[in-house]
Amino acid sequence: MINPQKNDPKIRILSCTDEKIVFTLREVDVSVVNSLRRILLGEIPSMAIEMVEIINNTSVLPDPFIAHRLGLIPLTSNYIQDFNFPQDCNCTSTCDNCCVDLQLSRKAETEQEIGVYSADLISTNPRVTPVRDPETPRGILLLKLSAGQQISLKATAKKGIGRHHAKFSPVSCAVFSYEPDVRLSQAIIDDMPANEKEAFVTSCPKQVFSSDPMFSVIKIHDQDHWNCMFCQECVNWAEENHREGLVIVKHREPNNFKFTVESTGSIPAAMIVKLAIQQMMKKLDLCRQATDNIGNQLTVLGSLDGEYLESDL
Amino acid sequence: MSTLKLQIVQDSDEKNATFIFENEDHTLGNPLRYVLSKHPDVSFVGYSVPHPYEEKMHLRIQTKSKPARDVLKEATNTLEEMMTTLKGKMEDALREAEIS
Repeated sequence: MINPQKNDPKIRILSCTDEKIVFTLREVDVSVVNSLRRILLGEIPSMAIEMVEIINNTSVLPDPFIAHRLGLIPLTSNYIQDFNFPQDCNCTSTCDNCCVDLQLSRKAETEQEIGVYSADLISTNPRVTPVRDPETPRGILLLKLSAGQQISLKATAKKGIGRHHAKFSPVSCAVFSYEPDVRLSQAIIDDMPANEKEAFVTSCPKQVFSSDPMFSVIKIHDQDHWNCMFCQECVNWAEENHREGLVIVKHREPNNFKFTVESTGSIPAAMIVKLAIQQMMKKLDLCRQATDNIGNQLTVLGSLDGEYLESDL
Repeated sequence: MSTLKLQIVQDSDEKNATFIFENEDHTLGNPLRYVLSKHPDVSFVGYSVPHPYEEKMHLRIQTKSKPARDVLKEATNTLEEMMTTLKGKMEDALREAEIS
């Protein structure tokens, strides 16, 4: 059996909340990490408004504009596994297993202008509601209504994936970066006066370097090197000030990464990462099944020596 | 969701083949390519997505002795093992983060 992953992968969580997870991944090839990122962005299903029936709209915004804004509202999707994809569902058009209906009805009764927020959407299923957080209890501003204007509509949320429309993506950010290796030359530092050290420390826009108030020593604290974004400002500073070799910035090892995932709020961030790994396994399972079956229904499309016609594909 | 379909364009020799994955892209292609490139029996491996509008991914495998099909299956298993360890590690790390 081949084993390209001789070393065990190592994962360390740097921070984890419902909205955001940051972790380091070691001993994993970039191709695997990148496919995880691609899955996070495009293949984790979530619920989003897919159909809008406008009953009455006397606001200044046109119907399609409002429909588009509604589509982009994140809906809580913790129970996404309980729903079917609309195309896989047994129902003829819509049913409780694949769709969730939401209603919105607001009118500016008084002279005062009112805002219509995502929290005003009333869902028929308590498991799929517009995402709310304590800081913004009313959710996202959809539109404003001035005196006498009204909006009334019915919306249908469906399950989908980000590859088909970005509104289904449960992440607002899924990125990874190589581990930076920032090295200082102690000999050159010792040679520098305090004002020069200060200038050097402040040359970094991401505060990778830290120093004491007197600027006698320059250090890189434990996890601070992760802040480095390879902007080369410190290297440029050293060159401009004739301190070549003061600092070297490069990628530490090709297989070390910092992964950041931010959730839209529809699914907790840590859950999304777990789902992504599961999704990859599901994909490979399908792939293995396909390779098993390929022997039985071998479709030899090629003619001699691997030459095949474009039209055969 | 759209299901994976696999076709094989077999050369006269079964050591060399191009696999056509329908409804797949770089997400599956690149890690497979990586694992296959580390396989001792593989002499050539490459993948391509010929056209961005067509949901198809081509994977070309040429081996030294085993049939290309078997090597692909081995690679899938290896990758799955890797994902299983990764899943375990992720769960451990999350549990650890929760405790501290």
